[in-house]
Amino acid sequence: MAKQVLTNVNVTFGTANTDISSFVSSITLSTTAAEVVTSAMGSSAVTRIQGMIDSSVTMELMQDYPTIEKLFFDAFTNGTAVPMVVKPNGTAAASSANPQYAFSVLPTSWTPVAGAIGDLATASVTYPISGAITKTGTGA
Amino acid sequence: MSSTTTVSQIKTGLAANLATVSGLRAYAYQPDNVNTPFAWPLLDSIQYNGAMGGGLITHKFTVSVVVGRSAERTAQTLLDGYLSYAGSTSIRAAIESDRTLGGVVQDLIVESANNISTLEANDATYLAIDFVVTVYA
Repeated sequence: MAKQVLTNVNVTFGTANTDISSFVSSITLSTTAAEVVTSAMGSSAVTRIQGMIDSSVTMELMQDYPTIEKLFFDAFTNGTAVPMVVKPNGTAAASSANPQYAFSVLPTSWTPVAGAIGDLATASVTYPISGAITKTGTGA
Repeated sequence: MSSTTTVSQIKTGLAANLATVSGLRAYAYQPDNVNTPFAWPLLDSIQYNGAMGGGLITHKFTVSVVVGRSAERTAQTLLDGYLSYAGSTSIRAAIESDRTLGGVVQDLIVESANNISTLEANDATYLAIDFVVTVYA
């Protein structure tokens, strides 16, 4: 697959797998690992191994009270991790060109109202991921 | 809504809202005849891909209103009513009277009124005004 422009990332949120793609203006799924130093006496250079993996997802959302606000407010007040699935190229079956990333996020914040007069109502969230990210798709 | 909404549907919806102003002839497209007062929406720009999967398409319209012969006091009085924030002849209030245009868009807002000017047609000078409207489909 060639270089591409993101226009059709498919995003589902919650136990009902609600498709929120049309409300998402940007999304960043990132994962990092702690760096654990393993150098010992006699080592002449620092050696390292990968430690615990910590991931998060950041989204800019278009606010919609019957859909987005209810979904995220309920998730926040429930206080438990909820499933999310992200596919960069729409709803097509997971593949190397459209890998599926499944994970659970812990809703740690929510902003029900944000915006200036005359602006589109939006909401921004950054949620830590609880557990691992599962990537699927043939050849992915 | 969104990616399934056509520009024609939005223009028709805007014309329908404009038609709620008593005495104002509202058109979805620029009319051929100068029969004042009349109004029509003109699409200025479209911003695609405001959200994933065509979830937000932003349209910028100019709604032009030709009020009447500039020398007539009635035209100037009409203009005052059209420019008011509220009232039975307020263009802003009329356009925002149904902000989903019958359910075909997500929201809209009348941003401003500007370009109060005169227009030459048929050997007469007419008062005209533009309203800037942002439509989120």
